[in-house]
Amino acid sequence: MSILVNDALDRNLETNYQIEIHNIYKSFDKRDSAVTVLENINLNVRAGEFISLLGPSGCGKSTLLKLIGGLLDQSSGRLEIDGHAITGPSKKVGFMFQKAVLLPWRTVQQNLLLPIELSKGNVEEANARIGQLLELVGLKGYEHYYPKELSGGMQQRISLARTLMTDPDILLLDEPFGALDEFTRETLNFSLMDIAEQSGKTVILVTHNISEAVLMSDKVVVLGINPGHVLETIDINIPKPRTDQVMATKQYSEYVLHIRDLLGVGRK
Amino acid sequence: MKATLEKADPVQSKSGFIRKIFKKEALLSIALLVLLLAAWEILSRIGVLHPLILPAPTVVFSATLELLASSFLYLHLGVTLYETIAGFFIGSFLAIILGIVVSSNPTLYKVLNPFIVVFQAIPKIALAPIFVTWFGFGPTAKIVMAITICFFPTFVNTVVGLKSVDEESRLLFQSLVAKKKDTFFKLSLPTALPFIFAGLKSSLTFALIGAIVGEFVGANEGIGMLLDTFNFQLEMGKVYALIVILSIIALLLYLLIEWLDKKLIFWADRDNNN
Ligand SMILES: Nc1ncnc2c1ncn2[C@@H]1O[C@H](COP(=O)(O)OP(=O)(O)OP(=O)(O)O)[C@@H](O)[C@H]1O
Ligand SMILES: [Mg+2]
Repeated sequence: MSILVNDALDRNLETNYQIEIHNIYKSFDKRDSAVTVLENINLNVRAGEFISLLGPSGCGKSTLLKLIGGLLDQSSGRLEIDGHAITGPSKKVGFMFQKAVLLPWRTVQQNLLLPIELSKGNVEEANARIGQLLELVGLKGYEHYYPKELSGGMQQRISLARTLMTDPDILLLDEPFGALDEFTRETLNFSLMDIAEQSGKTVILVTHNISEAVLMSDKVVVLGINPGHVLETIDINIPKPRTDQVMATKQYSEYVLHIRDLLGVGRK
Repeated sequence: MKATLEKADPVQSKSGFIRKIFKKEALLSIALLVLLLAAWEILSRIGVLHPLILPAPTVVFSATLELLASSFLYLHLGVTLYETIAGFFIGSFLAIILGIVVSSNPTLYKVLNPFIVVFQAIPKIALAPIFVTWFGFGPTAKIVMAITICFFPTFVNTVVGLKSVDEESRLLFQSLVAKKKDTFFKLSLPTALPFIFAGLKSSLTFALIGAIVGEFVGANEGIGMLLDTFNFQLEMGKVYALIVILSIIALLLYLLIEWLDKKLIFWADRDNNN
């Protein structure tokens, strides 16, 4: 009897997943052989969850994110969003690339309008949104600058603002603040957490930063390399909303130390 | 543009230093030119240079003035310019359209590529007599010649430019679920534009060459025909005068297109390739 109930509960939970990644393999064709980049990746994400992908350079984080974003096809395995197989990019998903990829012939404002133009959205409404988003990323007043007049970190922040322009349900962020100093980076991390918590967006964030991952996420997926595989998926059971205070807790440092251990960082 | 206002760092003052050298070099260039002209003049006057081989600069100068004062020059100039510009516009238009069509379809590209390579290898000047046979002594043969000769620089650059769109930008448009048309007009074409303009600059010079060569082969009007006539009459001063006038016109056309390039492609970083 109890087994039956558990089973029903499990199935019920399973249908609640917004993103399902099941037994994913991905290999790229080299000249005459195929190189496996991702091996047996499993991950289930509920709507509104904040997930971090953590792992060494080259372990396939960007590749996994592109698979979820429908920008690449998996070699085998099952990938679903809301119960439907991912066949290509979706308007529900906002993708932020590792590089800023701004169009050099467009001003900041025109770059931010691009997603709206491409989806035939309302430009008037969008113009109002631009001000808010620029304020959020700390670049108010930069509407009429061209990308070449901005620093690398500023370009990345514009790129984040562009991803938020269409208000997607799912955010896939590939090292969004890689080119930023620590202070700006932390400020933006908290802004990002605010956005996610207030609007209930699902976020999958690629990062190299262990403490950042623990501080922000509901779940941290730690990946190993050659080929990329899941070392451990760790639920971060620290109540939200999280503040600076979290970093002073034992619980927090235990998570950080555990992940450092997994990745083989530091001196014992 | 706004960034250029902040110019205090050592890198900038270094480029200021380079700019000074350039000014100094420009002065030296002018000095060298004056020296060469003076030597040329003296060698002509003392009879070392035969006036039929190389008339003195003063002779060329007065011949230029004489030609500029005559009305028939402008008639011939008009014809040559008409042939050049018509050839340039038709040739470049065809080149850009064909470049786009070929780039839009990889299979088509592979099928057409051998033809393109062979056609490109033909020394197109050799076709001039054929065109005169086909189209007669009028401007048509020269326009066709100009089209043929000015087609490739723009065509090749259009194809290369459209190919130069980087992978990340493509993925960005893909992730935004962009339509093919939007990706072309908002990404591929603007990316290719600097390349296309580089092609157009060469094409313009080539179109002028095409028109003149066409006129050499057979024409009853145009600067090429005039050159041929003066050469036959051993009016060497006027021959050189025409070359001077042609060069100035080619330069003006080039400056015009260069100006348009800078206006249109304002975002390009030109610091490295000057
Ligand atoms: N289009 C591709 N073709 C062939 N190999 C690829 C391609 N994209 C990625 N790879 C390979 O897949 C592996 C993982 O690349 P990926 O960009 O996903 O790593 P990453 O974890 O994002 O690294 P980083 O932290 O440095 O950004 C690398 O070894 C890379 O060489
Ligand atoms: Mg990456």
